[in-house]
Amino acid sequence: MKLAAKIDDALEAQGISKKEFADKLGKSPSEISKWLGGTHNFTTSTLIDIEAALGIQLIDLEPLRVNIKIPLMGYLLEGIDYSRLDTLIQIGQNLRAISGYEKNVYSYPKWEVHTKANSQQSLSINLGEAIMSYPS
Amino acid sequence: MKFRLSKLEDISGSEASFYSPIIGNSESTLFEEFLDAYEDDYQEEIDDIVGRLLGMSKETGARKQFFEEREGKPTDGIHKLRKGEGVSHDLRLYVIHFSRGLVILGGGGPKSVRTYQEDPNLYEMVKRLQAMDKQIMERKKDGDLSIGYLEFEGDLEFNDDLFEDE
Repeated sequence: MKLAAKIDDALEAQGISKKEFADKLGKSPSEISKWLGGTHNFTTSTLIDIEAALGIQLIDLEPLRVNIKIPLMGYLLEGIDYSRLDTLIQIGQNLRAISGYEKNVYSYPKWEVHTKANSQQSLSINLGEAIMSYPS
Repeated sequence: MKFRLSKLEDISGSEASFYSPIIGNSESTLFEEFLDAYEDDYQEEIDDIVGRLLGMSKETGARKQFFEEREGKPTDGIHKLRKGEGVSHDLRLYVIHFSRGLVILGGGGPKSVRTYQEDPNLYEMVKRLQAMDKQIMERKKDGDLSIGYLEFEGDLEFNDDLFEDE
């Protein structure tokens, strides 16, 4: 519906009739009416054609949501209570600092810390969901 | 039959306001009755309809092309909300469209026949909305009601018989 409104606004601002727009894109006026009706599911290819025809941006580069899970291996040191949440968060923050990702990461909405000590004495920390901008 | 116009605050926003008539002594608006009647059997369509109405009220405005003129002789403001693409059934919602910012939501129902005139439920809804539209426009003409961009201002109680002219 927002796309339909953006296209409608651009047509109005540029004084282009629906018929002219249809001719420009090689579509029928009824197809254009369908597009502007607010219920059409546009394909990326169609949106690119419309962007070119009207000189507007319709495809937003939305942030890509990714999960970063950084395993921590062999960090078990004597004298550290790994069952303490604040300790694990500190380790996670240190990892974030050295990972090189921090310049792209603009939000850490939650910290989910899971510990799993296995037979090799390893500890994994799930840093939770991070939102990274794409492209960087 | 008397009616009064009630603003649907929950789904109105900065870009469009939706009103709906309350008939007689009913406690619900026509739109609320429509939701109650079909939310169980047509959940997908109801979700789609409410989602689109919210999109209009908050972001895009209730542009005329989001609605369709009904079959027949559309000399009034009665429109139907466009059928959602990808939804299974044609659950019709009839409205009185005044502007991009102001719409009265009526009711409707599933359309299974070729034209709305063949369906007693849809036909009656359109006739009711036509009668309301006529009374609203007459009151506007008399100066007792003004139709703003997002609001009706003035007397929203209509005491005339809806079908007195038929």
